[in-house]
Amino acid sequence: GCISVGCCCRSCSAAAAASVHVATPPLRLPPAHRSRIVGWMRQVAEALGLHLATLFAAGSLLDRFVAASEDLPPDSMLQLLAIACMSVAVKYEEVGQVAPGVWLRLAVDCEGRPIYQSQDLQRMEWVILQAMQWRLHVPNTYSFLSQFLLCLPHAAPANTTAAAPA
Amino acid sequence: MATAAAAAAYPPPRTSATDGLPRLLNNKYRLERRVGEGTYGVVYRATELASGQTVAVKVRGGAGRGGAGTVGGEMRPDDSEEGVPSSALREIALLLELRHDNVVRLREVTRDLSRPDPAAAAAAAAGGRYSSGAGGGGGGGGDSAQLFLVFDFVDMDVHRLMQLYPALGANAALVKYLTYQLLCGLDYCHRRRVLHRDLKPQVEGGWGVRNLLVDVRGGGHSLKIADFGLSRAFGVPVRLLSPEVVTLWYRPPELLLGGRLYGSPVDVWSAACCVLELSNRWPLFPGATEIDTLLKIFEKLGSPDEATWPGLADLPHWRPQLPRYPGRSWEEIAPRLDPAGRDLMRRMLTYDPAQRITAAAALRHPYFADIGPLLERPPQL
Repeated sequence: GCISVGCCCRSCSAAAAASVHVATPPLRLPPAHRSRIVGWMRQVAEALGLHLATLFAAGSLLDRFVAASEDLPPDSMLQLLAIACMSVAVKYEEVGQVAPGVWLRLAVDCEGRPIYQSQDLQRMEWVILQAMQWRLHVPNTYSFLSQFLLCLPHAAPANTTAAAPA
Repeated sequence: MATAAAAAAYPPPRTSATDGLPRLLNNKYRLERRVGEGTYGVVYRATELASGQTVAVKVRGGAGRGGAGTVGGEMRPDDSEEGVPSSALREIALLLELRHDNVVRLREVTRDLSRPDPAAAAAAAAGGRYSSGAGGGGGGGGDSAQLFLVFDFVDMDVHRLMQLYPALGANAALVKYLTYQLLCGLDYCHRRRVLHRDLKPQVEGGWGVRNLLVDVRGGGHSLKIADFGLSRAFGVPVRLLSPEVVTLWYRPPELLLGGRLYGSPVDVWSAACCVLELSNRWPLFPGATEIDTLLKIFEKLGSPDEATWPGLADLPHWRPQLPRYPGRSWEEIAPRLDPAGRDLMRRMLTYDPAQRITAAAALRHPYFADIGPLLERPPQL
């Protein structure tokens, strides 16, 4: 899909709304799709022992990327998009890094072969970073709520890993 | 006068070439000479053609495989097949959020647009490189994966200022003025949940990426915190982070003792080391190893115990049998600072991070009671 960001996005998609399947801006993934993708991202985060902050940063990237897009990403791209959002979030949030090969092995065809190559992941990461104009240092649900809870009297410490029961 | 001295004292570039990089970047910047090199990139002095302004261009990332990718002929630690390195991603994302007089300004992030887009390069390189099996990753998207970070150019830094003006530390007003600016920049970063994690005046071998810049244009001494290559965002409450940050001499005791739950107090400790180095003209804790640095700290400040630092015994590298030192007097540690300055240093070098003064509180310390006139008329050398 073609990606546009900034002020032009609103007018473009408003103009496009009349003729194509695009809903009112900003775009959102259909709830059923988003639920599946985010559920999968959560499983991955648990399997890799990632911090909740990372999972929420990845979810925020996914939503913001889609919102800044002119069209919904095609279904064939959604898993790559999810992986790239996770990869960027890990680079930003985590102390230990995850090798590209680990990400690529998460998406395999019915015969167990990787669907995407290293270049695909790098390309998707780059597209996301450009579309987000590198704005990763923004509040998300998790970072806001952990700050908020801290302000409450007698606040209990938040769960800090995705592996913890939630 | 200071500017002229700076120009004269500038070390000659190690190579006059731009190492295979384009002399002209995107028809917008003319790369002139290499002025610094750190763990994570090489810095060039350049001119923005449209405005004639001098800028600093930092080259980050890239495939590092032949051609312009191997900047200076060496592989950078994180120039692998992983795309944009974690450190570059953080440096850019965090610097873009920081706009302050005492933080170096990132003007633009760009690629060499004369080279193919990483997407196109990736498509062209698909197959061949991937099957070569180098590290299981595949190609790096070509040299176009290099990122160019364009900063305001600042011609001087604290380290060079100290070399040029050996009596700098005796200039109490200037030391105070620089300290105040350092803390202003730091407070601003911390308020935006950014840890710098590498404050230091030193540059390894005199040729590192400079972290504390001083803009001497217009006769002022405007300090700018730079090089956010080790920076990261921090949350509240703090969580486990890497203890392998901050150059040894400026590394706080909680990191030297292996602590991984840390936050903004690490920068406050480093800042105090910088200020005292400026004032004393000698590094405060020039340890050769982690334990050597720790013992130098104990020897000057006195060994900590559970009473002064609750939780000390839980730190991974703490051993009760470490030597006990009584510590020295603050007149000895900071001979050129006035009593208020010594008190501020004592608070910034408090062992227990929870009791260490914050940058925000430091700015309200009595040491800065007379900062107003200095801000209006910056002190001269």
